[in-house]
Amino acid sequence: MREGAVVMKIVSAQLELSSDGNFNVINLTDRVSEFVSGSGVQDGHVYVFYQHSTGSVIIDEFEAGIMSDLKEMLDRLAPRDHPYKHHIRAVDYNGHAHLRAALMQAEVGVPVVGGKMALGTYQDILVIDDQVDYEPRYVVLQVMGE
Amino acid sequence: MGQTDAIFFWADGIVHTPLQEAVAAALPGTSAGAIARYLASPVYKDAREQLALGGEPAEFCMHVPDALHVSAGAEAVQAGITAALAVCPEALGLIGSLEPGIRPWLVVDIPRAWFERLPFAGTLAGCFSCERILFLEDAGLPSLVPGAFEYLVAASGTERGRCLLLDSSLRRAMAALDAGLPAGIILGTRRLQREFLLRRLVSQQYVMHSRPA
Repeated sequence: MREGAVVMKIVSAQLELSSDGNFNVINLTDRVSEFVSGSGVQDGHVYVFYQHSTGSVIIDEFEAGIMSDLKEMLDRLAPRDHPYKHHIRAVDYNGHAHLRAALMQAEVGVPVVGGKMALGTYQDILVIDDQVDYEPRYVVLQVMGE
Repeated sequence: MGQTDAIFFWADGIVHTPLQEAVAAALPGTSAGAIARYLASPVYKDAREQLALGGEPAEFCMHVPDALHVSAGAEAVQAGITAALAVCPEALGLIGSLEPGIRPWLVVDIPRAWFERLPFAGTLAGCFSCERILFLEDAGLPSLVPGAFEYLVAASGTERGRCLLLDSSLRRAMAALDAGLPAGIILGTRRLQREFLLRRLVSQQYVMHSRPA
């Protein structure tokens, strides 16, 4: 290795979340924070990736009113009881969850500064699981930096 | 912002150890993944709700190992649960700093016998007078949501809009909002402190000596 070269470190992990869906909101902030601390990365970026097409990961304030408003908005945009064409396949009946996932995102990134996530005071990392049944869900965490 | 005259603290997860953690602690040797899956399952949620509504503690303590296919007796599970439950002194300290005009109520959804065995349960009296500790097992409710909200508001004799429910369950807090009861989600003492400061619920003296976490 060249003397003085910066060593880029990449650390990944998968989290299993137990969730019964139906707009289940899981606050991952503390778990991601622990992951970043344990990685030893001081400056870089951490990514949180939700490995499903029926939910999302967002950054927002974990406040009951905001979560209630978000659910109401999603209920208006993609109501659960709509005759989705996805249901014609007759495999599952979660068309609303797929559309809601498409409206949000599967990944968020947060800068890591001084070994900690540079989240604002009111920012939390939240998984929104809109699947219709009870199954384990998975999230991949990846931190890269020096 | 409306004035708050009464605050209902849902004890589980704010004032004492979450029952879920106590259940996990009562089953040493069982894989963490299996316990986490069980605790998020509809069968656990049903059993938990029945316990909150006044179901037999022994039945709950039999159900837990049965559902997890673990060989543990109900008595051992109950002993493990009660040993793991404890009062959170930091939360009580914060509740003690509320503006004098605000009445704190404690909402208990674990069996009275377990609650009374909590270490430091006596310290609760400094924050909640006896008549302001509500045991949901006494309420005769058919379901927690929305029945508990009506019960709390009626018990407090306070106008619904001047009440506030602080809860560690987001789903219940959202259901409370749907029922017209102001509610907040609290995960940990720092969030409790922040909520108090944001909603201006603590005394000026406390504000001068603290900063939002």
